[in-house]
Amino acid sequence: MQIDPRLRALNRFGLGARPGELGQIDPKGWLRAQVQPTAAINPDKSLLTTEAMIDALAAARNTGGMAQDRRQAMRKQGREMAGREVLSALRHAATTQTPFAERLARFWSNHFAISMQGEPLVSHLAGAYEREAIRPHVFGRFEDMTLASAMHPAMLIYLDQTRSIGPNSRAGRKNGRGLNENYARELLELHTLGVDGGYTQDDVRQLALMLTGWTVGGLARGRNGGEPLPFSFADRLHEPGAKILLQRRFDAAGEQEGRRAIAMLCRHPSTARFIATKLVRHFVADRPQQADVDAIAHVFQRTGGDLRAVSLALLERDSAFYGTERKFRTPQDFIIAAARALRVNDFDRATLRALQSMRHAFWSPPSPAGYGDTVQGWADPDSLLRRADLAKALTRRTRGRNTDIGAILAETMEVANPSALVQILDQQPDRNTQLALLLASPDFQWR
Amino acid sequence: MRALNRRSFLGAACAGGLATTFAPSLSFARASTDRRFVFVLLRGAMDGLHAIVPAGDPHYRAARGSLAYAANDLTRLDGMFGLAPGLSPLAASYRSGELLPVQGLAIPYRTRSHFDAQSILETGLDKPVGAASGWLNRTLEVLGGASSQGIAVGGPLPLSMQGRVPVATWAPSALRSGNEAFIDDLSQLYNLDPVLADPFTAALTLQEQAMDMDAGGTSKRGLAQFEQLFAATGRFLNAADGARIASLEFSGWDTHVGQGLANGTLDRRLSALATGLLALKSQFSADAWSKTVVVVATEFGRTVATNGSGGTDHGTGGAALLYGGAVRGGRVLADWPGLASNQLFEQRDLRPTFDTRQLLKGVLAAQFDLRAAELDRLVFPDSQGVPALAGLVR
Repeated sequence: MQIDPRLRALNRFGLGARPGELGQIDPKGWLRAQVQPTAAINPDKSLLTTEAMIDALAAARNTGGMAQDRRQAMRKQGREMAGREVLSALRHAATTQTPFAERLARFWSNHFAISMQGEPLVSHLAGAYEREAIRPHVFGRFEDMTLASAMHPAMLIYLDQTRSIGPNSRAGRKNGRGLNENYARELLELHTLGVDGGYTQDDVRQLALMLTGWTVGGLARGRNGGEPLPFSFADRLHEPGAKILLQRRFDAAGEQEGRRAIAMLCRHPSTARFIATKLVRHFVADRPQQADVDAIAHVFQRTGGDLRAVSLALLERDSAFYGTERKFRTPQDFIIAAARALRVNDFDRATLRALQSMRHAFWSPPSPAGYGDTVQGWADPDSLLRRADLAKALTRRTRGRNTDIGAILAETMEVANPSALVQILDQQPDRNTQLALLLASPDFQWR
Repeated sequence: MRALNRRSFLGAACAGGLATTFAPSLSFARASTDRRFVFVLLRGAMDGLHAIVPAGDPHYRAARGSLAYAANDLTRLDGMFGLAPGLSPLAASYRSGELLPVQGLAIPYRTRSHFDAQSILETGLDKPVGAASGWLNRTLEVLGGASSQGIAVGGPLPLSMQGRVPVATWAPSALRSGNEAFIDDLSQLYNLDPVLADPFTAALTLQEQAMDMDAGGTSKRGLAQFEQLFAATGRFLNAADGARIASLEFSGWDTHVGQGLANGTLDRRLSALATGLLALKSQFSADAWSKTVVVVATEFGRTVATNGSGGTDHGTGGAALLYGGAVRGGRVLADWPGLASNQLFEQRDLRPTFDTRQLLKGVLAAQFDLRAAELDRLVFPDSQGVPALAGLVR
């Protein structure tokens, strides 16, 4: 197979080449130019902030009627907002001029995963969470992203942080309820150190104690009409006294304890290694090479988690541009790449259902670990046929437009067996089927 | 010519030896099994009292109110229970001993939340948090972890099937039928891809098995889906080298409003379920059927009393069905707690008399020779105190 670093830039680091782009880019220069703070922002101005969403939910709930009707009105409002978020995110991915930044936004959003399968409020706020906690920090500091995720209502609720009460706090002594370790554990295992990062069950508990009091504003007012608000620190839930995390003592400091713990975790060498491994797995190979991981971890550690420097360092890994290992497109990546190749910019509910049937709906991973990132998880039999179905459905939407099949073949995909592909392409009865065959071909599933 | 292409492709791929993840004919580490198990999840809480009807309970009529069946609507099973009209197609199976209705079971955690209860039923734990994998997947793991052993039919991979062992998925697709030439041509390309050739071959095999009995093609809607998906499942499991554990699920059981009586909303759904189960059986050889157990379960039962909208609300104790050639049926399994108000759980629900896990453990132990330690620790973690029910399976 002939390897073209420009295609690698467009496909492996981007979201799929569009006909005409290949000839215009200098691969590394094109990618480097995308490493700037605003590049990872979704410019859709119609989307609401978390606070505006909560206001809209409250307004829907206050329409009057029975409690059950009011709750239903609120859920309906929430579902509508969530639907708009997903379609907007998909449209943005299909049209963005800075696809490398978008890939990183998707990567980090999945790293700090929340899930729409569960608590309704989390699903209503999922899009806002990504736009507010993740995107602004894609080229910022890892610590800031971790903190923003830790303080967002979607995460606080998703991982039960709002249910965690210091056993010796005022509230804990009063009602005998206690600690919920869920968020603290995932913060260690999934967000920072990684499962082999060198922490113990006692560290999980100590971190959970440090984080007690981190909650969502209005929840404390409970059913007396208080609407959930963004982050608040509730001292009456906070465990008093000093704590010891990773053999380091932290004096009692209220909300600051959690912030200090996060700062320490984000600078830990295990975190650098864990993040580097995931990034290399995402952009370079399912089985990361130690040299690649070491190089990225080194930059992460040296810069204190400066994600701008880390992103640029990824672009220096020649294995990504010239290596023979391929990465398999996830279902989301496949749909987005196909849409970019065809210049189809709008998606409908059928597309969302297709993503669901391939188990890759937006913001809906089955566990807090987020979606998997290797071919094993995505190349299951049913999904492969569904990609073929989807290729057919998408090409139908290009009817009447002049889609250059030759350009898609020559400029958007690495082809392993050109003669076989061209021969079978020639047997197809019409242009639409030819187009569908290209998109459904194994070559198009790799990037 | 086109069909020949695909078949010859399959033949060539098989001759070449399938050695990876999704190949459907892999043998597996543990001694290979020819026993089959299907888990059918009715999402939304199927009203057990409306399916396996305790018409012989002296309080039945008073407790149920407007949702009490007339006696002659029911197929009498024994002195206490009758089958709902929709389930009457299964009466012959009951008489031949292939149907074992179960009454009064519940998950080990008292909740009336669909989400928590389904999560518990699928993870096999005793609380709604703590596992990212399901007990079906962990069963596959205990059986040796060969990916070809499990298949989820009809939708996205349910929590019960999630876990370390790769599981095949299959669902009918509207587009696929009439696409044979296209898929044929694609298969020639996939055959050249060292990684994707095997899963693509597996997909075609499953598709072929389903197509042969007209289960492929357009996805049926509404109640017709039951028959389509059950039949496909039967076809996959019957195959000599096919899957051995399948999961299926159907939603729409949350009958808060207008539940109805004979041929009403819920009864029509029960009828579709019965039709589906018979369609499943119709795909099996006599020998394979004699080694098959289907468990139909739901997350919880519903209130004994009718609510203000002619429906029922979320309850506790519920019903299940065991069906299959290997089932020791022809009786109703129940330690009947009674419907008098002082016999109910929290004065409103059927009191559970055993743990759903006891039933599942009993089936798995007998079907797959799982040891108690495997069931207590791996498949249903921390369930040492929950004994498997014996005598469910021949």
